[in-house]
Amino acid sequence: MPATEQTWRDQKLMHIIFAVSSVLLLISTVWMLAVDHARPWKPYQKNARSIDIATTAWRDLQYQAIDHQAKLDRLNVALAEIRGRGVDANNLLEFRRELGDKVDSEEVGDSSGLGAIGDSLKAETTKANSARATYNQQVILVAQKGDALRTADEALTAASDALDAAEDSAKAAAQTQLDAAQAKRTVAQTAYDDENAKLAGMLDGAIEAEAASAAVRKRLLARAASFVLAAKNRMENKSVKRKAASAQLDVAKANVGLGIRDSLGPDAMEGLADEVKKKQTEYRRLNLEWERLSTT
Amino acid sequence: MHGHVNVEEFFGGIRHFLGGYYFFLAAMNGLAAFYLWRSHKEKTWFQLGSFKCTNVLGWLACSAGFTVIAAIALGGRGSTVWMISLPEGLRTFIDQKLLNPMTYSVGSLAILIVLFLGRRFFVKPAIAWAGLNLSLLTMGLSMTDSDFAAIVMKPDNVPIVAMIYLLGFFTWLAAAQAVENDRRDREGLEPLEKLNNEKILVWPDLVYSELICMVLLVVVLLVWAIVLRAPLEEPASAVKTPNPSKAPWYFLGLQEMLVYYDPWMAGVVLPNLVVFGLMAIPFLDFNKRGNGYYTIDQRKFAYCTFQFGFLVLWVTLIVMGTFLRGPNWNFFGFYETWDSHKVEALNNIDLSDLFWIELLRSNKPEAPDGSGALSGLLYILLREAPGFLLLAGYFGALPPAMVLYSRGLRDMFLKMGFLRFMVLSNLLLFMGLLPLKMVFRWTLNLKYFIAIPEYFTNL
Repeated sequence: MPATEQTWRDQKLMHIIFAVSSVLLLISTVWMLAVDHARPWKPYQKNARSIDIATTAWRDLQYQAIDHQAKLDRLNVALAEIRGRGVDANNLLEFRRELGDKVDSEEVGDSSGLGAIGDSLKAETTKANSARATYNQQVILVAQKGDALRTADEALTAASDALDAAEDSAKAAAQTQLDAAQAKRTVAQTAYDDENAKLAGMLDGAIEAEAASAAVRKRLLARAASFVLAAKNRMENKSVKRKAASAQLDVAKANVGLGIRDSLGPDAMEGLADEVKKKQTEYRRLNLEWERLSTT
Repeated sequence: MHGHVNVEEFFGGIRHFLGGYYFFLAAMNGLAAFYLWRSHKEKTWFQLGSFKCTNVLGWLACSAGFTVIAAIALGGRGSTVWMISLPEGLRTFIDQKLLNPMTYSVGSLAILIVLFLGRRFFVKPAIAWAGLNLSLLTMGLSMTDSDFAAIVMKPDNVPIVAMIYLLGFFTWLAAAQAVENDRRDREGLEPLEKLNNEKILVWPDLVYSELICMVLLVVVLLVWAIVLRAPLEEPASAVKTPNPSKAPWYFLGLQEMLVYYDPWMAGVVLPNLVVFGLMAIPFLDFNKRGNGYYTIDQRKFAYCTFQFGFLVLWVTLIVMGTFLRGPNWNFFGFYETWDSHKVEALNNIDLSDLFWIELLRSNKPEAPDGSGALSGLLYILLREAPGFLLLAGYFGALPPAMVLYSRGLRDMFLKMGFLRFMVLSNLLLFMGLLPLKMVFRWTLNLKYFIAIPEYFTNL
């Protein structure tokens, strides 16, 4: 077929359809974005996200607070230690020398009490040092008491070992009694062996008698087994029918429940109740038969 | 999902949807009438005196009727709901007396047989259009039933409803062309496909159309996603399983087969045989006619086999699994409340029970206590001998019998040869095994042909 510019469908119409469908696509895309943006759980999600951010920030601050608290504690201890130290007399003298001629000037104020404070500080420092020394002595005392405790523990362990040693001696006494009992048993064993030797002679006769009895018993058991098998099968078959009747009864009962759900009239409900009674009667009959078969 | 709701309240909730639905039907019929009038395809249906009832008038009347129903639906008055509903008695009759797995399956098959036999009548556009209107009207009238609406309008199920209509449309389209080609063949004319063999341009005739289709399809998908929200549920929990637990819709046919067969059979063997059978078609098909055009008469065997396998054994099972299986996998009618308290008695027995106990009034063979493994196996084989013999006869003796007693199958055997015929016949017999087992289950409460739970083998 020669090439032609003739198309199968009207191109103007196709352009119009394409334009309309494109506009529809644009509208539906914008609609989709709008619906997606306005989904009902979005505010909850936004709220939850800000809660997450705040919680994380608080947790970060908490970690920082722990570090800072530890640092503060260390510094407080160091400060207390420093405050407990005495002031070096040389430093104090140096300080007073620097004040020099300004000691009595009005700019500095009255420095007459400075020496007294220094003396007071010295006394307090002496007290603190004394208290520290007392504490250190107490530490040594506690260590000594600990040593005494360990010694007491060792004594206790030694006493326990001694106690164990005392039990061993009791065991030795029991062993003596055991040996006596063993001797009695040996006597009894000898008597038993004697009687047992007599028994061996009787075995052959017994075996012969038992063989004859076994043959008869086998015939009897085979006969009885066939009765038992038949009875068992009757019972199992009845059991299957009983289960089926039970299932039918369940269906009838469920139908009554569904009837109540559907607010059926009195006649219909009576019909369903009658059906339950009928199935119940049938089930009871089969159950009785099954019980009779299973117990006889 | 289902439950008792106030009818008037429910009607008020769906009145806008129903009004729109019926207006759509009215517009659909109005457009059909306009198309027939504009394209001069007016036909007289019947004549009363000087009044001629044409197809245009008929569909216009139909459109007017749907408009009236739409107005009633939009009114939303509880006192008028009966006017646009199926009668309560009819719904109860359908649920309690008519619908059960057997009537549904056999009925589906019967309907398809009727459609096939009367295909020359049913493919007529007016008849098909009337059928479409009738089915849409029935669905609309059923929508006022809260239980029906809960199944059909569930977001999961909406596409399945749409697909049922698409399937019906394409089946009709193919059948209509096939019937027309068969008619032309009888008159010695060429098939329709031979008439329009003019070549067209790839661009713009093909690709431009495809582009527009793509754009419109994306629009449809976007609007669908916006209007019908994805049915996402809460996170899965091992302690709270949904009832009913359903497979995806396309596997519901397989799940329905699990009612009748063990998982290894329903989930592995039968699906693999379906795939194998489809792969084997080119090697089994000896009919050279019907290539490149639609026809039924020239390929009756292939057409019937495919439609039976696809529509009856696949699609109707999916529909049953989707719309008719409720809590505890019980069967529920279209208008029945899905109540988990409904109880079904499952008193199924094996073929060996039927044979040894019911028929022979005897005991099932059982290995004595203390028997060895081999002895136990022999007793099991003896116990299940009826099932083995039955299946051996089904698969072994039926194919030769079919050749001996059916002239058509004998011709096929001669054309195909032994091997190809045996493959074909066994595939067909496997296909027939499913409906056979379903019928035996419904009639005899048959559980398994062969039941060997000792070795986890049941058939």
